Amino acid sequence: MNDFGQWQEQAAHRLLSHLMQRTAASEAVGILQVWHAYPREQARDDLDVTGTPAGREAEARRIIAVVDNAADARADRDAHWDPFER
Amino acid sequence: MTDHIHDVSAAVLELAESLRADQPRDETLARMADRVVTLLPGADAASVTLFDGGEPTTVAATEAGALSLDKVQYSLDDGPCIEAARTETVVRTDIDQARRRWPALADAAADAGVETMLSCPLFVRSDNAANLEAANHHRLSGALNVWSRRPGSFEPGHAALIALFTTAMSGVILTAARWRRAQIQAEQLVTALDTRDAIATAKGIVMARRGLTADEAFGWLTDLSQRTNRKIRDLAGVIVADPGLVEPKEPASRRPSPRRSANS
Repeated sequence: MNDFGQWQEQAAHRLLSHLMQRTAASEAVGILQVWHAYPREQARDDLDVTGTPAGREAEARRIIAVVDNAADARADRDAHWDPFER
Repeated sequence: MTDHIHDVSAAVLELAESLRADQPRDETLARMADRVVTLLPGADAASVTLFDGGEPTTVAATEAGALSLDKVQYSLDDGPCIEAARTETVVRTDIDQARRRWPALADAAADAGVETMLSCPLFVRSDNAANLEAANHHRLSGALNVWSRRPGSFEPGHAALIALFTTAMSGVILTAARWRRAQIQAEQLVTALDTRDAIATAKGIVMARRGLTADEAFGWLTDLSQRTNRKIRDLAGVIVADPGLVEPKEPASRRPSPRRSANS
C-alpha cells in the first residue's frame, strides 16, 4: 500500500476510534441520567470529571461495564456474581 | 485589442486571486459583472442569468434596467439571453434585429435606451456526475448579458474578451457549487452525529432502566421501533427527553447503584 493509502487507513481508524468513544460517552450519559435522575447536560459534565478524553472514555467504559455485567449476571442464574458486592 | 485583452486578463486574474471559497457566489458574479462593464468596450450594463431547476434567474445585475430586460426575456421564454444559454453560442443583436425577432424585448430595450445586446453562454459541467454523459446532462447553464446604449457596439473580436470573463465566471459557479455541496455534507454529518449520540444515550437509558446489556438495549429499541412503526431516532429523542418513559424492569432497589468500583 502506498503512503496515501496508509494515511487514509490511519485516518479511517482514528475516525472510527473517535466515533466509538463518542458512542460510549453518550451511552454512559444515558445511564448516569437514570442513576442520578438528572438532566443530560449534568450527566455529560459528571462524565467528564477528569477533563481529558482518555479519562472520559475510561469512565464511560466503566459505567457501561457496570450495567452490562449486572445484566449478564441476572441473565445467568448460575453465575451469582454481583459486581456491586465488594 | 491587445491592450484590451491584457486589461481583461489582468482583471480576471485579480478577481480570481481575490476569490474566497466561502464568499457568496452571487456577490462574486456581481463584482465580475461590474468589471465586464468597465473593461468591455461599449458595455453600459451587464447581468448574469443562471438556469436554476430549468427556470432562468438573474443572479447579478449592474443596474435595474438590465434586470428588467432579463425579465422580459424570461416571460417570453425567448431572447438573446435564453438563446445563448440554450444554443451555447454567443448571440449579438441590435435593436432593429430585436424588433423583428422579439418585439416585446425591443420595446423594453428602447425604453431603457439600449441599442445593442450581447449574450454569451455560461456552462458548468457537474463534477459529481458518474460519467461524462451524465456530467453533460446535469450541467448548470446560463448567460452573461451585456447591454450597450450605443449602436454597433461589440465587435466580433470582442468575443475573445468576453470568453475570458465567461470562463472565469464558470469557475466561480463551479467553486460555489462545490463549496455548497461540501457545506451540505458537513451539515448532514453533524446531524448524523447528533442522531447517533441521541440513540446511544437512549440505549444507555434503556440499559439502566431495564437492566439490559448494550446489545440487548439496542434490540429493545429496535423491537419498540418495529412495534410502534416509529424511527429509532425519533424514539431516542423522546426517551432522552424523558427517561422515565422507559418502564423499569425491576424495583429500583435491585437496579445497579452508581457506586464506583474499588479500583476507580
